[in-house]
Amino acid sequence: MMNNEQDDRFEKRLRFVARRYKEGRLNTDKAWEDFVVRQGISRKISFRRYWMAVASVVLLFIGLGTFYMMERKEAEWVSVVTAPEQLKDVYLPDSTLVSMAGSSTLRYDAKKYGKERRVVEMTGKAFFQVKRNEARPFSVRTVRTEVTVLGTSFQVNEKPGVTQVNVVTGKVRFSAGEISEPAILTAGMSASYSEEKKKINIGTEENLNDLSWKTKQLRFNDTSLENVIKDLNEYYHVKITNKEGSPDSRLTATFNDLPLDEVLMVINQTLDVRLVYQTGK
Amino acid sequence: MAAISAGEFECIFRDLYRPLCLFALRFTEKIEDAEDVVQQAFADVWDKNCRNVTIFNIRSYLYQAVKNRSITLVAQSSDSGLATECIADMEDTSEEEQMYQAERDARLWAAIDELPTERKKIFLLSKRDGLKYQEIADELNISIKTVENQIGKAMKFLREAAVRIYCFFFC
Repeated sequence: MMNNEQDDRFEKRLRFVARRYKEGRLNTDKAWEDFVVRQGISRKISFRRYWMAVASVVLLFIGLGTFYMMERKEAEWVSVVTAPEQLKDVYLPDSTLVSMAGSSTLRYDAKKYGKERRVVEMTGKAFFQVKRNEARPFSVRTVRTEVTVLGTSFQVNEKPGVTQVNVVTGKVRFSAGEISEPAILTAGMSASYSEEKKKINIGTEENLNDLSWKTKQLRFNDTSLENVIKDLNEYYHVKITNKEGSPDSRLTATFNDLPLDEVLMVINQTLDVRLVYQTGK
Repeated sequence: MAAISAGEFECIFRDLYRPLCLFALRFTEKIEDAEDVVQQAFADVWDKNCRNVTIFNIRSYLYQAVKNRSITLVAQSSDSGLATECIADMEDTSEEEQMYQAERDARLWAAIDELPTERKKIFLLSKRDGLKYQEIADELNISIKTVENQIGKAMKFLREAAVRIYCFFFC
């Protein structure tokens, strides 16, 4: 690359530069600073820069403020929807467990949830095991009603025209829109609100199978055939009819998630009836 | 409103400051003088710019201004024979070549800046101050082998830098 002539020239230039070299001199940054000070460029530029900086900061704050306001107003909904007959367990941010039955929806505002209260909205049927937190009450809202608790397990079942609540442990407050007096329910109690009657009805008799969709267990204790068919219809999503035999029979039995055919066979033989089913609606 | 914005002017200043100083150093002996002359030349251009005087080729204008101011300065002090030597040396090269040369010198200066401290010290004692290897070894209390070694490495680095510079200009 470098021939002799260039080499000579290099030596010469190097000697020239080296002889004049002084550590730290010919510092361009420093020279520019000196120049700026001497020529008064500094003030002009920095003045403009100063105002630009002030303007940017102001704009930034306006932007952040607007963003913050919008953010606060706008909810961030987290929704869970189940398909027909699909069961789903959902853990909320505070580790409250929601077991959702089929054809149900659940949603909560991720921004607000757990800040002051814990509020979820739902349709369909769901069983709640609420993490206890007395400072932040837990509420379930349906179209018509609201259930507020501190920490219990209970089920909310929203059927057309009726909302039913079953309490398994603890204590809940059940209120419906227009009703001023809320109902206090304790373990083992159930209550339902009928839209037609506009009234909360506290259940006297515990229905053994309200939670069977979750427990996978159907229990009958001297239950009338009519109610047995009702529970089976709901559990298996079928329509059962009694073709022959006495409708006054009563059944005592427990089925642990057995196929419907087997269940019907057992009942037919036990009660000497002939139950048949149709699927679909 | 000035023809060249302060931002543009800063770019020109940063690009040309060192080459112009090295160009001035062909006439003036003292580095302080060279830096003063260059500052004055830039001040003049900035002043003209503020008064809306158009300068078509700022680069050549600055080189010419630096040359004139340097020669004036040397003539005023009139005690340097060395400067005239340099002027004589330069007369056969074109104005364009002189500007390129100043820019290459500036890059060599930057390359010396980049040398590791100890190597730079040894290199400068030899090439700038004209000390013999033995004298450097005695002064720094190191072996002559180390001096040779360090100077060899410095020269290799600068030579490579020069190749890069030549490539930059000619390839």
